[in-house]
Amino acid sequence: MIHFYHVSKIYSNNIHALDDITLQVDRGEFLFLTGPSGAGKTTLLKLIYCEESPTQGEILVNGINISRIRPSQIPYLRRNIGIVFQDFKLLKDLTVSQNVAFALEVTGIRGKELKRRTWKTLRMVGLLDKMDEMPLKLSGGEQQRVAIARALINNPPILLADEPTGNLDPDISVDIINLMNNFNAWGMTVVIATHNIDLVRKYSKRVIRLKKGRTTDQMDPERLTLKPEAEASFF
Amino acid sequence: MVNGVSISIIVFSLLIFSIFLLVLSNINRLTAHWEGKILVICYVQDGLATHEVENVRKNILDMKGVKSVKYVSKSDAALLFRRLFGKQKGVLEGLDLSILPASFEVHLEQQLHRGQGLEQLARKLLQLRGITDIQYAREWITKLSTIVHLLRWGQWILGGILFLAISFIVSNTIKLTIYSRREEIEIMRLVGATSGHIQIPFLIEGLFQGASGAFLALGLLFLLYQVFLFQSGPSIKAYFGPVAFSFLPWSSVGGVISVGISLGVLGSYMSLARFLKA
Repeated sequence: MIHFYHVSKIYSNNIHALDDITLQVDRGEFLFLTGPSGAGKTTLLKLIYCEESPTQGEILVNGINISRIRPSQIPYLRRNIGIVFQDFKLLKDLTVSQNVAFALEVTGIRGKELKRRTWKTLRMVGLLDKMDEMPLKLSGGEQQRVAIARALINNPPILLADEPTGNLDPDISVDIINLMNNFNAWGMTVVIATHNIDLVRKYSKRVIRLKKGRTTDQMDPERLTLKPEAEASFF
Repeated sequence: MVNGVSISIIVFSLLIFSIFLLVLSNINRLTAHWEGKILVICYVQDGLATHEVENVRKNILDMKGVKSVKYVSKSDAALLFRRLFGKQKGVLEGLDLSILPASFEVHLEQQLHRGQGLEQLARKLLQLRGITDIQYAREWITKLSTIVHLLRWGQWILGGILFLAISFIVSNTIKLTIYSRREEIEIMRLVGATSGHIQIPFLIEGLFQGASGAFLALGLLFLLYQVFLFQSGPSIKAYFGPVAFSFLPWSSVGGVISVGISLGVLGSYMSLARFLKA
């Protein structure tokens, strides 16, 4: 689903954010991307949704070579990728349902279809009773659920999350990851960038660790569950 | 809130621009009026036959830069002289007004006022058979043409500088409006909105801001114009004489509205383009 071939990213101020990354994320996979701050997790996600372009290497997303994508095609690629952020990025002047519907409206869907899909998505994230509330009246966990609903309303095959639990309590964080886990169970490819090691430990998912722009190690679920000593050295 | 600030700045900027246009259009009308008054008087030799006078008239009319020619006969000249003295025309009694010569009043094309051709024409007129002397206000015409020349260049330079300054202020104000909605734009981009989808509402908003700013500025200008006329009625008439101090012509009103709309739309477009690239 997502392929990186020897990808490097150097920013204009000569910061080497990613250095010769080669990785593959399969369709329907759930992947944690870990590493300290500045390791390149956010840059890697930004490359996937074309917010940045690679300095070197090739990236394939859902069969499309996005290293050579035309700027006019980027919006259509993003409709196939749901994105969730640490700071939720909700519009404060719109209600919960308007925030969620917003992502569908930009694709040109209006009227009954818009209402139906907004209602369905809000029910999936358990926020039907809050649909007319303003975002700032909700808890952090609820706001993140709204952001997830907005990311999912277009039924994208890929969900990217950049530190989605960074502003949340541990219990709420688990709820949020569980929610994403459910979507993964229904076939969605999920990539979560986080430095919350405790959270990563709770799930038997593949983990890629980045350090100074390089993949230092990969760990598959079997290694994680069968060899606790390997886990200790990994983290 | 930010929209209100944008519109106020557009109104204020366009009001300054419109005041400049109003003053300029009236000065232009005044100078055009003065220019229309410029004429060369050619005195005709006494005793010319009618057909000879007609020949001279035709020769003058054929000259480059001459708009029209009016013949003032000796009797017409005497009549004008009498009229000039008005109620005191008694002092003229006993005078032989037949000594006043017949003449041609030569009205000139406008381009001749601004160029150097006037003296050349005067020389040619003096060389015509049947013309004894010519008279025109050479110094006054030179001064007027210099003033008009300076005014015309000044209006372009000053207008250009003012337009650039206003464009800069308005585009920066619009940039602030867009900056205040950067979150909304960022989210629109992230959820897959095309550039057109993001830009159109802002361009429409820019159009309305520009148009409403222009209409409000013109309304305020009209109000100021009325107050100014009311406050300084007789004195302004003394300056402008027979040319009434009038409001902006329709073409300028249309121009101000077009400038307002262009500033609003272009300001939005350029600010957005920079924002979407960033």
